[in-house]
Amino acid sequence: MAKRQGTKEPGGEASWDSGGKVLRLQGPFTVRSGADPFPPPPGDPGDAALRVDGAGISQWDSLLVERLGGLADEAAGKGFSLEWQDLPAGVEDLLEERNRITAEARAAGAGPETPGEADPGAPPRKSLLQTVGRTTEEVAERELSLPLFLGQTVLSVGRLLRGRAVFQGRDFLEVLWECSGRALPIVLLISFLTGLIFAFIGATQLQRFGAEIFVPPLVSLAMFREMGALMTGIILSGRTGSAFAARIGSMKANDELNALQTMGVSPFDFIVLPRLLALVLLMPLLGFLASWAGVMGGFLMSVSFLGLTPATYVTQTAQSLDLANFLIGPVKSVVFGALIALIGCQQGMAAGASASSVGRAATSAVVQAITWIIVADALFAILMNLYGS
Amino acid sequence: MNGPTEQEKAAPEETPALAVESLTIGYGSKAIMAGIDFRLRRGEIFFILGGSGSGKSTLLKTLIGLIPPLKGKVSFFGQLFDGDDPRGQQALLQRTGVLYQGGALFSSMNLRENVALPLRIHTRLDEKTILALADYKLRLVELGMAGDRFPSEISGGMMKRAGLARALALDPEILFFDEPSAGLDPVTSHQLDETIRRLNHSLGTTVVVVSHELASIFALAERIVFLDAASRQQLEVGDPRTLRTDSPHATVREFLARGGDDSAKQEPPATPA
Repeated sequence: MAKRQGTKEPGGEASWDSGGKVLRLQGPFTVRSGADPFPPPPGDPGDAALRVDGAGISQWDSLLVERLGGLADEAAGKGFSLEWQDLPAGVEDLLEERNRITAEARAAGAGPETPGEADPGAPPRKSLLQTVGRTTEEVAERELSLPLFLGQTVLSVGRLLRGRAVFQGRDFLEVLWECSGRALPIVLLISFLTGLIFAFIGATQLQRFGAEIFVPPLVSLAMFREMGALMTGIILSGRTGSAFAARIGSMKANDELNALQTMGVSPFDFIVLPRLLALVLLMPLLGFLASWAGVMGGFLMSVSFLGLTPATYVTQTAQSLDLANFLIGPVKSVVFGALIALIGCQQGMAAGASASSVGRAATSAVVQAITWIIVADALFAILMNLYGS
Repeated sequence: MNGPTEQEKAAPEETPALAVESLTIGYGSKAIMAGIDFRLRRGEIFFILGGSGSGKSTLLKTLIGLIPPLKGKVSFFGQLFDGDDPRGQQALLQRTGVLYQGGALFSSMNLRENVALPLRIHTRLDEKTILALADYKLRLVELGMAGDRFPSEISGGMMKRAGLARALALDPEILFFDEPSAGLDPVTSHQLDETIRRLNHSLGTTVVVVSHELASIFALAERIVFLDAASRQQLEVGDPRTLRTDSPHATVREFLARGGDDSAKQEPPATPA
């Protein structure tokens, strides 16, 4: 934190003398130097005439004006009169100005009567019940807009299939590169480590029964069925979903979405479609590579710490993977990719036209995408349990 | 009020370029302004005026179909502009162009591609013609050399001009401008005004401008509509030069007179209101 400035010089002092009739001001009265509040007139001044002597003021700014104005207000309230003497040039004009705007604000009923008093024009503070109700309403509204968005997207995909959509090839390629080449290293690294961690956790339990031999199937099943798709989904939610929301939100703030609409181009064709297609195409590939990276992690762990031979690990892995296990990951990935793209785009389009709302849209795109990915993953788990694969 | 006489003058036998009839605008169920009513001759330069929050931008959005009117009718060239008929609305929109406040250029495309986009969507011209036309429109707004630049690489004034070139792509019969001078220095703003005047003069384009830049109003506007935030209705339709002194509404006189000396050069000195 920055060091507080202006504390070297003590603030000005105000003191009553001559039997409490004259307030002498001495030294600087500025916002920076600070000054203690004026002491109240000693005793009850009644309707006496009091004087403020400003001859000793070395420096002043709005602090002095506000203090003197406060004293004048007090005088008006209590019925004593005030007289200014030797005030620096300009202070009296400012005091008059202050009294005028204060009176105007009071007449308009806009300003608080005394500082800190509640402003009658402000909306009343919400009760807990109201807050809960409003929030529920907002959440419901937000979630209900998603089906509408989905419907528009389906129409847009229909137009694409009939060759009638205005499709942005360049955006498509840009998103493809953004979520493949650029996302791949981090996806591979994280999945590699995930596989390694799985092998480690599995090994500590299985070693008790001398069943280290089951570590390779544990890792490969976990990676291919669950973690490959899930980790990729979570990484791309953070990398790509938020980028979509921010990009589209700023396009909206710049009227680009309106411009598309008046040009007769559906923003869904132009913006959502390339992003949706890119993610739906790429996610399975990324997820598949991520699963292999995880298996490599398990391999490294098992071979170097568990004493399994590379050949054993490979055979065990190969035996555990059948076609169904190979296919589950990519199917999930397609769904996850669609979720990330749709939620990212929807949040961007729903963003308000301010800089902070673009940030909020990006955050909520990530949070919602991750939530929905995990919900979808749970649904997959239940379905697969039902159909026994 | 001289509104009615002005409107009679503006409604000869030819169909008006834009007709707005007892329009109520707003969002959802919340009306911002009611009873908006005016007609534009073809080739006219018309300004939509009003203080902050009076609904100028909302009116513009309603006129170009971005939000539906709550009540009343909008028609272009005698044809109803109706959101229930998206195809008809789209066809009419292709005869209009809009310059948005920040230019609304697509940041992933260079200027030439931006200008070419409407041509690619709505015409069957070959690639070479499209690019030639795009360059021609860029030269119209003095950006002939900047076709390869991206929106992030140019200044605010250039963005507006490029946005104008894109709005001109389909040779619209009506051009809408949303606060063309916002964020521009006086000289650049004046140049943009000159461009607007030139286009109006040479192409006969009808121009509708949302603005509160008095210099532009007195330099360009043939007529204005004044929207009043307090009474939530339009106060005047007419020539800003006469309204400045003769309007029965103090709000309108004050708004227009604040231009002061700058506008006084273009007309005999007015008696103080």
